[in-house]
Amino acid sequence: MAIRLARTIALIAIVIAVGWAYANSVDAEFFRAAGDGASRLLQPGPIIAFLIMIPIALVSGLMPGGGLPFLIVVLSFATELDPFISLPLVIGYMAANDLTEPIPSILLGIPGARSSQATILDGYPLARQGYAGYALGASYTSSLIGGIIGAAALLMVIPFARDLLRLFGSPEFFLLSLLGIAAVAIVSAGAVVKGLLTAVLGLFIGLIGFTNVAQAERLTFGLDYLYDGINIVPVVVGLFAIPEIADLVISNTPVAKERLSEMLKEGNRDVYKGIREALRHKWLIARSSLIGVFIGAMPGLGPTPAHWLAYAQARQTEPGARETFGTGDIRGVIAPESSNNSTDGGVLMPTLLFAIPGSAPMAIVLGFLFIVGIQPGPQMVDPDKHLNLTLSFVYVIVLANIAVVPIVLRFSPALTKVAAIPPLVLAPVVIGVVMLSAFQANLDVSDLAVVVVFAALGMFMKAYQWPRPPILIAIVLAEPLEKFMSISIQARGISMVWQPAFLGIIVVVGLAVFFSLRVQRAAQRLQEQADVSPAAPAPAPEDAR
Amino acid sequence: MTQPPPSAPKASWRSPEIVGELVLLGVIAALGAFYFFQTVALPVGDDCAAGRDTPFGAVTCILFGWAPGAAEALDFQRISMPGRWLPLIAMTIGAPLWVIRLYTVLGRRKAIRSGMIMDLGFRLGEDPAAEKRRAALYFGSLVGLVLLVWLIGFHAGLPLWVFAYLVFWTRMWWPWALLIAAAFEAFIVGVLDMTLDIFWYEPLLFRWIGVVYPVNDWFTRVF
Repeated sequence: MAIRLARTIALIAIVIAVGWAYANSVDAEFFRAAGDGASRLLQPGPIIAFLIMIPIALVSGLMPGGGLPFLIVVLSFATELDPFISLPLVIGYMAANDLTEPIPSILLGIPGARSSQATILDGYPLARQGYAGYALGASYTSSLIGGIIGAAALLMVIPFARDLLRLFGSPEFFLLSLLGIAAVAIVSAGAVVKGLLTAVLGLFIGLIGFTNVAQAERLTFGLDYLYDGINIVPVVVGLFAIPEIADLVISNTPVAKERLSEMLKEGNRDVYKGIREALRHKWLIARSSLIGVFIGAMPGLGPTPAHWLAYAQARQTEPGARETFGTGDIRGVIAPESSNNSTDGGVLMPTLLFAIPGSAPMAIVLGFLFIVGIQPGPQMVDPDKHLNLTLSFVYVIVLANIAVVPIVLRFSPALTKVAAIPPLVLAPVVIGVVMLSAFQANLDVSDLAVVVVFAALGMFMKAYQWPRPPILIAIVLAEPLEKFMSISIQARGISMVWQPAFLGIIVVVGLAVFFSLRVQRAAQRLQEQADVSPAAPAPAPEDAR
Repeated sequence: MTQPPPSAPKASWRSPEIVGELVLLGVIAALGAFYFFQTVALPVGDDCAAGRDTPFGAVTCILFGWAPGAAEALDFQRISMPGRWLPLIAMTIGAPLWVIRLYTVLGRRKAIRSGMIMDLGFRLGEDPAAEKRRAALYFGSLVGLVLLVWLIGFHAGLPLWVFAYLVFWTRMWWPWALLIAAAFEAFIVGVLDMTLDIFWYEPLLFRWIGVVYPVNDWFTRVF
């Protein structure tokens, strides 16, 4: 009793302290930007784009491996639009996509995405016991609340980040970009040498073309196409989308028809009971969501370790969970799903504020920001620049979650049919769409050759487990990195390395990498113990016991 | 007496992971070599003064100074100019890592690690031969699509490829395949022509026969 009282008092004290600091950080300009962001989202353009995006996000989230290729398609077509339409569209797509990912995990035992693997451990046994709707209801509710907590966390961080970013100049951004690339390379690979070599390869590729810094061409081989550097959209299509589809085609594991029809019957039962059950575990949702926000904000980790750690903490802290987790315990669905969705807010923090992507899709979004002429960093929290845009992301995450939940509540069993489309049939459709998007981003047919070259590279890298995100981050950041570096060295010379902010960044990024590596190892251990791989559907409940 | 721990199994020289890693290392080495030589020979504008506070020239000297030919060819004043720094940093960081990785691969150690967080390898099943065949077919069909589009354009090439893929590879009933191909045609015309009104490139075949690609005149923005 005394411990509970002390915990409650401590919680209230923290809330008051953070609230006080927050109130001191926000000003009239912040509210003006917040209002402006909301009013610009409520124009016909963003609303129409949002309505078109929702069904695409729903369907692609259900396709095994479909989320990333379709994100690239959405991004490439979005380059044609006003940034105030295109960027919220992309963020909304990602938030809506996350909500449908657990459907194939729960109903069919197949992870729609890597970030819903832990959900299988208890979601699929529940479905096999006839509680598919119950598990889905709990999953949607926890995802919705997690998404809102993630958006709120992003909203909380923005005013503090404004104060912090005011201290930064070119040397600090140069160092941050360089360490960001290195951090993502070290963390994402699981093998430091491979990760860093990939980042070096990315820098080599990113530096191709004419450079303003030296007023000269680099590695263009006299080709006009390479003068402006390599276009990012065909690189992303080749490096990420094509290998993901290849994965589907090469493994070619269609879903058994009888399993599907059985699940379709039960997917609508007890949904509201599941919602009530999730609401009953509000503290579990809160804890898991905060884990998601925190892990999401670490460079290069993304939602996969977050949802495994949330699952592990639920197993450790919830009463009786050690015995029941893995056999169909609803808390084993609630914890990973709330953490999975809350990472959306978390991964946006380093991406928008420091140009260090928190996950692989965020590396793609970062590239897109540069394409549409938006420089992540202080501009994103400057009321006279893009603060309204940053705040619109918060609204869109919340809106996408709220808009999608009623749809999936009603139609999830029917939507599951998408997950059962044979990969060989799905592949030409997705390839056709991504090739069109690669072409239409720059209207240059040579981009298709770039797609093929990077597809070969991407398939090699995927096959031999060389991480691909660092290469993309390095390509995207090469130009600003060189610009910041040139300005810094010419302005301050070698003395810049002794600036306190410079040294502070080294310490903070070093600690973040150290922490991220520990989290990654912990998540890997959990994953190996659970033995959930996309190739192997989760065991039936009787086997799980 | 304790037994020595069993050594990690070595992969065969012809195993895909060894060949694949060597190919990837070759790509990195080729790009690095290009940068190295171009960094020395790169022409720069007059306004590009030599940096005074750059430690990178010294680092390069230490790294590459052992090779008499390279050392002779290097112009350190040039290397220390803006536009060379970042390639040099990348090379300086990359060179030792490259050597370490090459040593690991040539030692044929089982270097592939599982369970990566941001990026997983392919999901391989129980029939590696079929999977290899599908991988080759997949990549071949992708190259085929690009060549077809280059030759006859997106409007004819993409639906034709989708139709052929579905009929010949997935053995789909041809009217269904035709329907999907027609949907692609509708997407190209509806979204790219009538909504975005994009200007298409001249396909190779049309250039050969000396006919102007007519699609650009057929459709205009409707929406």
